[in-house]
Amino acid sequence: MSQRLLPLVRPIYESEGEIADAKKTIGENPALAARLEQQIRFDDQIVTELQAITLTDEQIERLENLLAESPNDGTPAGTLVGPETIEHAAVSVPSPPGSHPIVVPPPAPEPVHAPAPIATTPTAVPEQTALGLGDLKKEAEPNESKSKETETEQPAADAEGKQAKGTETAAKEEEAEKEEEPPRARTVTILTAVSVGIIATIALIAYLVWDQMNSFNGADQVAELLNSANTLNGDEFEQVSTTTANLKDWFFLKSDMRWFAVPREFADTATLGCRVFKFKGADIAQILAKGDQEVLMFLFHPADLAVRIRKGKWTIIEGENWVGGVTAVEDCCFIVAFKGKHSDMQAYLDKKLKK
Amino acid sequence: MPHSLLYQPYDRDSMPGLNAPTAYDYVQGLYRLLAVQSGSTSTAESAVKEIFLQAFENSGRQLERLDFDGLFRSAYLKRETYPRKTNPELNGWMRKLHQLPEPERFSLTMFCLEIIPPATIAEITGTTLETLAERVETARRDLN
Repeated sequence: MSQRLLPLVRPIYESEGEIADAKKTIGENPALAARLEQQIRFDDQIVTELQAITLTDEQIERLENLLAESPNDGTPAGTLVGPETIEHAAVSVPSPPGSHPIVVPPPAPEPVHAPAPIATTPTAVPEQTALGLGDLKKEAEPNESKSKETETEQPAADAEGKQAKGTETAAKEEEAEKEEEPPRARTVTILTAVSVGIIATIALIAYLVWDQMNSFNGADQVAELLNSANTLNGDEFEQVSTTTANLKDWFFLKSDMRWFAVPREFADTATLGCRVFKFKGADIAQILAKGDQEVLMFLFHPADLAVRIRKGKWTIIEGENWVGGVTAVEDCCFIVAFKGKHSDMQAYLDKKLKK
Repeated sequence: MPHSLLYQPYDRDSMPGLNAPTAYDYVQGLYRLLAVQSGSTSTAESAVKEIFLQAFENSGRQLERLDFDGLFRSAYLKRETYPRKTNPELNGWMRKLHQLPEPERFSLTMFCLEIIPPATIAEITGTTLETLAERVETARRDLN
């Protein structure tokens, strides 16, 4: 029997059941061994020429593209997707009866720390793994030799089974940890969102407070009043050469302005001209003065323009061309203005108030 | 891109023996078998596509469930589709292989492809190991 299998003996098949027995028998017979050597040399020529016939890269690619195209829904077939889907451990896939189990190894670039598959029994069918042609490996051990090998490898298989169980437990623990992660992540996210919300609210309140502190009710009326000076040419004023502190009588006589008052920092400012004009129904005292620089002063009763401002506190309001420093003195709202910017008025007031 | 995923250069030295033929090996083996059977590489390429796609469909489009040995079984069942040509495209030993009668042609070609073991070749051809050995031996004699 063994000798009759001589034509099937080749180095690559020497571990295959009956052929292994035939090889042993032939090895004991020098004549058969020589014949076998000659046979192997002959077959080598055919094997070499067969291997020279090869599908090219382009042909393989065309075949793969055919596989990737799903005729049903036009989407790529599930097995032939991106490389990220093949980063799992090797799996053992059963083949149809009579054939051999297919072993799907993990891809080489991303080694997976999982137990090597035991492909002696085509049993477990793990999750379907996306693979390419180059990623599939098929164990081609004959069925006949499987039972023997299974017996001899039983203890090893048990040990590996225990190891596999241990690994499985570890994997489950990892999975459990991963499952616990989302609530923690949600908590952190919620806390972050709440914190951001609180910070934003505080910032908004701080801005409103700051804005309120740097403004007052009726500020827009004051801005409009400043804009009314854009059309002045100087002819509107009556020439009055005195100091602002001495104008109370002049304005009282002009328009019964009993409330007239000027801050003491501006009391000694020399005046060039004065006038009284109506603005939104209110009497406005206006003074053209020249101290360190030529300025306009506006004085009115705060209630007339619905202005509410703290006494002694200076606030700067900008019009289109003019900028005004606004404060309240007794029952009078006082504005000193000139053409410029907020910073110019700030510097002017700083200098004026220091004196 | 599927190609970059599927194609991996085959290195026989790193995978000696029958322990780890890849899907790539199976496709190349099927192509070589069909080239010998048909006597034409272009016919072989078309036949590879036809057989492989059919097997892929039968596996539910799951490559890991594909019956790889069945690829050769299909080629064996279609062996009569490719009659021997007096002037095949092939040369050398391939030409001689093509001109062998069946099932010797299939038996020796599969044996020399070194993809599946003789027991499986015998199972595909519906015979025993001893008969397969006789067929292989007969084929060798015819080639000489």
